[in-house]
Amino acid sequence: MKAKFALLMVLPLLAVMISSCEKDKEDPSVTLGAQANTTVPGFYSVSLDKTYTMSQAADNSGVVDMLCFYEAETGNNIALASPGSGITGIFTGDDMPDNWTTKNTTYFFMTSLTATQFDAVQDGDALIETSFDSDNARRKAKDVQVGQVWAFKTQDGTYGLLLATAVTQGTTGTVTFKVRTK
Amino acid sequence: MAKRIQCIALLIIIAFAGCVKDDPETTPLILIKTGGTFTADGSAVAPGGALRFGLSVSGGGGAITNLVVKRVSDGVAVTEADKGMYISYGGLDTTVSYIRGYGQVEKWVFSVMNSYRDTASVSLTVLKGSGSAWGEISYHPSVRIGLQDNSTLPHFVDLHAGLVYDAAGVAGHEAEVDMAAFWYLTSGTSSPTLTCPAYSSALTYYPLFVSWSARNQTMYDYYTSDNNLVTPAQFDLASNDSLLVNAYRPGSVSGQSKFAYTGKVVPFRSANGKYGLIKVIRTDETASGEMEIAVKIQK
Repeated sequence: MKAKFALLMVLPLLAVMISSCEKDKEDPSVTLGAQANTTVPGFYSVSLDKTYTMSQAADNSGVVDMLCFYEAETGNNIALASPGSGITGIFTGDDMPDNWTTKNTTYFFMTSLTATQFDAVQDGDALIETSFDSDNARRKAKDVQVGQVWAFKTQDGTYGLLLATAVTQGTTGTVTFKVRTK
Repeated sequence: MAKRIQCIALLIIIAFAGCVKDDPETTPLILIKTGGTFTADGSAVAPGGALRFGLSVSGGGGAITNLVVKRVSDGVAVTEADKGMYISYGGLDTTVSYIRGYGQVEKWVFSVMNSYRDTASVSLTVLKGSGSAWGEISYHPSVRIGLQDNSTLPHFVDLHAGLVYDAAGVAGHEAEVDMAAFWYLTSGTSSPTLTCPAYSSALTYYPLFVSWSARNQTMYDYYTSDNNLVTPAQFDLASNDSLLVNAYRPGSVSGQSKFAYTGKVVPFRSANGKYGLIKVIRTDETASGEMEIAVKIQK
């Protein structure tokens, strides 16, 4: 009887605890694979916060803002670019960005922000826009390194910051980053 | 039975303790913008030259609640601005403008606080440039206004243009009004007083301010006025904005300035950042009286 009573008391309490304890907000990351990575998609839509394989991206070219590629010879290494960047000799096949009718261009600028500073920025902050230096922005984020914070502006005028949190070099490599947008 | 109650109480305490939400680990972020029109760290600016600082602030997970601007001139710190705010979304992107003083080295410190009382600061240094860059001023030698119960003279002053408006004529010009004046007894002492549309107690004497969509906040330096640190003769000699800028003590300012007697000189800073001086040529000390002032203000 005592055991039953205790169980009856404990179970509702546990239920209340589990349901009412607010979980910490997650800070999700995006991982993109380079051109020969067959398991991690390499194309990304900022507006939809969604990744695509190249064939999927070809069908959704209007919303694709970024892609990942690897090119050692030019020093690009693991780099971020966009369908409109004019990247040649990397992707092959009918679905390669060269063949898309809509090729959005995103511009990148490497800021001097630190990872800690990035973490202080919230989606929608004016600082995201002011961190973007349009005079010195490029169509590629070359040789992305862990800890770098890049400001970007997409074709549709969305500003963003991305913090690279992991990089694996090679044509099957990946880049992982966190994003803030305005 | 008592043990059961104790057991239940203990479980409830554990349940609540386990759900305490931690404060965010992040702190605010404040950055000084660079390039173009902004004053750069390490640059040299002549006394009187314009300083322009662009600030971008993120709250770090909390609302931005406070922005403080300090000028440390040759080691002496003066708080130029201390603004309360509550910005919960979008951060803060603002530009502040000041005038380079006479010190050899000016360090400018910008600090923010968020709603968790976490703070962040950035600073830059402005060296002293050669020569001087004091600017031109506008001079309005005689501006006559009525105190609150005066029904013949207008009450509302545009300090920039030296114009005055009455209640009927001010419509459409509210955003240009910087000053009004009233008289009252404060702790038994007669006080002709300068005020501005944004100052809350001004509504006691000028209730129509409440309906204005633009209510300028002019800040008067009461310390300099109370202690007669600028004389009428110095006012008369001022031919550029050097005295206007340097007389103003941002640590002792208010939206109203009491005891504006005949012969007082009151430094001020207008809502759009222009420094100036008001010389009280003559004032009555009755509610239906009038006040005549002279104004010098940066162009």
